[in-house]
Amino acid sequence: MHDTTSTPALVDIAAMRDALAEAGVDPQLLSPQLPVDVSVDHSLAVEVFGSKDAANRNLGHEIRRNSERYRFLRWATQAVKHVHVNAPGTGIMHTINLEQLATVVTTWQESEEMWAMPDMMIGTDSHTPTINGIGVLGWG
Amino acid sequence: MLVAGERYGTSSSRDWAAKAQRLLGVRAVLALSFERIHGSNLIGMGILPLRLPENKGPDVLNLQAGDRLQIHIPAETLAPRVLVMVQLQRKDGSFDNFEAMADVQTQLETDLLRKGGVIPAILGRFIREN
Repeated sequence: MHDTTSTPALVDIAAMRDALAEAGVDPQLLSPQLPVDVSVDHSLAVEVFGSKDAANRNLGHEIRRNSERYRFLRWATQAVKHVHVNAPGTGIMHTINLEQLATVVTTWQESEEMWAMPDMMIGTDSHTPTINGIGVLGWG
Repeated sequence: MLVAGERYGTSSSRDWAAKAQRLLGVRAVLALSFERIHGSNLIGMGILPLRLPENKGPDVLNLQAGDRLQIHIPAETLAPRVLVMVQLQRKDGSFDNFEAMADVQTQLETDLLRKGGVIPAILGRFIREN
C-alpha cells in the first residue's frame, strides 16, 4: 500500500482497537491477516529542481510537512503485526516490490514433502501489475 | 442522502471517496447509475446505493432548498435489487413519491449493509470470537 491509502487504513485499525478496548477485548489481537508492505512514495512534491541538492531538499520538505503522518506510521510498525514500512526516499512502490520484496516462489518442507508457494500480491496502485513481468500474479 | 447522475463515482481513489461520504453523514446515494467499483465501495462503508428510475434523474427532480427526501428501509427488508419507496416532499408540501432499486447484487453485500459496512462487520466478528 502506498502512504495515501495505508495511512487511513492504519488509522482505521487504530480506531477499531479503541473500540475493542472499550468492548473489553484485547486491542492488540487486531492486526492485518496478511503481510502488508507500505511504501511512502505519494507525498513527495517537487519544489526544487535543476540543482545537485534538489533531491535532498525536496526530501527535507517532504519530511517536515508530513512529520505527524510519519510518526504515526512509525508507531504502526511497532504496534501492528505484519506491517512493514519502506521509509520516505527509499523508492517507488512497484519498483520496491520488483527489486526487494517479491519472493516469486518460496519453498518449505512439510514432513516428507517439499512444497512450493507462488508469490502473489494485491496493491493499491495501478502500477502494481508490473510484477507480472517476473511471473508474480499482481492486482492493482 | 446524496443525489447524482450517471456512472456516479467514476475516478481514482473510489474507496476513500466512499469513506469520506460516510464520515460526512451520507447514508444513501440516489443515482441514475453507479460506477461498479465505487458502488461496492459505498456498500463497504455501509452506504446504500439506490438507482433512480430513468425518468427521475437529477435534472427532472430539480431539487430545491427546502425539499425533503426520505427513505425507510429496515435492515431485515434489505435484499438484492429490492425496490425502495422514496418520498419527496416539496417545500410547498406536495409529494412526488417514486420507487428506486437498491443497487445491491449479492447476499454478501446485503449482509455488509445490515452490519453497517466492513468496519462494524470486522469489529462484530472480533468481539464475538474473543
